[in-house]
Amino acid sequence: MSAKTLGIGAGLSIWGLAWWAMLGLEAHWDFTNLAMILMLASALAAVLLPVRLAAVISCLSVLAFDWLMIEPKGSLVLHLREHLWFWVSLTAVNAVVLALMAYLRHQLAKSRQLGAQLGEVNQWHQILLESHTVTSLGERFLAQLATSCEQLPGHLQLALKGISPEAGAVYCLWGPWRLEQLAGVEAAEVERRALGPDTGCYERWQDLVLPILGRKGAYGALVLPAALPVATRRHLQLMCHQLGGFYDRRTARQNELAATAALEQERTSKAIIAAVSHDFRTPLATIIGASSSLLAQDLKLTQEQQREHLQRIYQQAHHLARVSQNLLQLARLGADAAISFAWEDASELLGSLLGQLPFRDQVQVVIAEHTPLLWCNGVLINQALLNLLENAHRYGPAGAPIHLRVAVRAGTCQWQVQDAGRGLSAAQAKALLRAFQRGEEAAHPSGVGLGLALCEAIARAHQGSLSFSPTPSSTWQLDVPQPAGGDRDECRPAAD
Amino acid sequence: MSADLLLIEDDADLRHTLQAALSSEGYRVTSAASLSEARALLKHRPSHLPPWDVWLLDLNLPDGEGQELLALLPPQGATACLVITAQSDEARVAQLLDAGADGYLVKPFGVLELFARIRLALRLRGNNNRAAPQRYKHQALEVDLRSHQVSINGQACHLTPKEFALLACLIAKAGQLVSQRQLLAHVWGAEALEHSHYLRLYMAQLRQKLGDNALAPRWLFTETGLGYRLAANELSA
Repeated sequence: MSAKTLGIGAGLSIWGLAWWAMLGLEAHWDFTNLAMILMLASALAAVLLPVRLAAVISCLSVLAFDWLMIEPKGSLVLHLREHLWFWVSLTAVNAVVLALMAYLRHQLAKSRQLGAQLGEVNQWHQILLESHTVTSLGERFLAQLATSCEQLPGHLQLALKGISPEAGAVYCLWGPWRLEQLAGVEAAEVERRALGPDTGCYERWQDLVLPILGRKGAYGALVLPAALPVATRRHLQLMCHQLGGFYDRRTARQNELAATAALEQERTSKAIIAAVSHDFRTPLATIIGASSSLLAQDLKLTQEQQREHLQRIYQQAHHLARVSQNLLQLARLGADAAISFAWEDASELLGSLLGQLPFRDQVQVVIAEHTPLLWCNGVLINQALLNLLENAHRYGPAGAPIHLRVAVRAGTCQWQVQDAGRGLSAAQAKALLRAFQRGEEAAHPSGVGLGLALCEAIARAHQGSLSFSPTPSSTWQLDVPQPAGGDRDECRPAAD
Repeated sequence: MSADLLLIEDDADLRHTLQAALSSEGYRVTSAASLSEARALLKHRPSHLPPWDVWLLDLNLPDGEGQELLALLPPQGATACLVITAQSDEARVAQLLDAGADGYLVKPFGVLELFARIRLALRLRGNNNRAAPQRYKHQALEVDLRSHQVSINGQACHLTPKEFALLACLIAKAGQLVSQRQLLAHVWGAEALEHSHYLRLYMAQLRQKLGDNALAPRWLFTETGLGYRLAANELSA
């Protein structure tokens, strides 16, 4: 049974009770007191009954009251002037009560409708907080409109611009479109207002066009085939504006990301240029100095001095080769070249790395027990570790042990290189890292800057990070996040 | 030392430096500065002369990719080919090894490294001309491929079929780098070419059984991103 039927039943019951009471008390009460029961029943029934039914029943009850309760009974004629005034007052009060009740019910219905629309607007707002493609956005919008407005005409037409900046002014369309309707979309975007019947603009059009507007521009339109009640149209326009706001936020976010990327690129470039100019000039100065001395002074130099010069040229050329290798790798990573990842065995990686080190006896390796296979680019990880180990060797105490540790903790592989504590100072290390984060120049020993820049770029290429800890002794740590699947028992082939 | 070398390098300074260094070591060096010149030399090589023993092949030549010449390598491994590359891109190097190159040198390199690579290439070229080895020995490790016997210091060592297949594949090219793809294709078949983790697991098992240490290997060496190399066979030296 519907709420409306229940309300009618209850309203009629009130009138029934009231008349039963009035008829029962007629012999004992004065008719003025009985009129109070009539007034009470009229007010209560007006809350429950439809307005027109309540008005009809109330009028009939007032007439019946006159017929049955006021002298001369059995007639609508009133002989006494006091009775006439009483009856007029009763009718007037009854009419006022009915009008007030009707007004209250209208306001209540209106506030309920506004509440429902507010809920829909909020729901639409929540949907727009999710990420969308233009297709999902259009489909969700039409679905939301269908649930929001029951009285919408059969088919809606929607034109939405693509979300990505590359999409430009290309529209995605939903519904059957005619060419002139597309012209209507463009007109609504230019006018930046609703067009069509009852809008005060392009009134002769058959279609109602609601533009999707944001602060930064127009992003399409909703087209409906008929005029709508003003409240519904305003509600739909509000939802279209919300959609425009989504486009605005999306555009702003894309602009912000592009600006951040450009800034980051500029900082990195500045840091690399600073490091390159430092790291190349120092060995080049030695090479040019020693070779020009050999060419210009060969007769004045002893054989031993000539050999020393040659030795220096050879060593510095090798150092330059390492620096240029780092620079090349940095350029590759900076150019977003595709990096291949594979499952690697930590002991194999380090075995191959140690084989390249002339100071391998100084390096003490600890690989944590049960270390799984590691998901990384083995060549890049080895290059980063090689740079860290060479720094520790070049600038640490001669012959002091260098510790290299590997462990996987909480889904992250931690590669640690720890020197004997007199390598780079904490201040130097922090200044260097800050230099590459902010694009500033920093004083540092030759070769360290570019090497660390590459380590950080390699960490970033693995979605990881490079950090420095001065205590208990200088430790560089390369963190590389690990996906699931490296467990040695789990990834073993089924049969041997 | 007397062997015929074909040096294909477009940079005149490097070509003259290498030619002088190699000649002073006793090698007979013929040089080419471009792909077309190298092709002409290969085409017009007098028939009474044997093929060159070693090619030193630069990849970036003015008229094309040096890699194209790999298709012209004489059959049966009569010529060893060392590729000279300015790129240390491991994927590219692995591709060259699969295409028939015997080794690679990344610029810049010293002449001592070059001489060592040529000596190794010549030794392996000699091996290529012989029948495939049936026995392998390096220090304490001995393998008989016919009887599937593996021993360390005379103590028998039991390997699973896959571990043995892996070891046999490395023995066939002992001393040379064998790419990951070659190993995967040989042991697990062409469908397992992307499953590099199989290699990691089985190499770890093999090392454990042979008593080798990945951090300081005696027999099984890793070249990160490229593949594995087994120490040279003392019986083929």
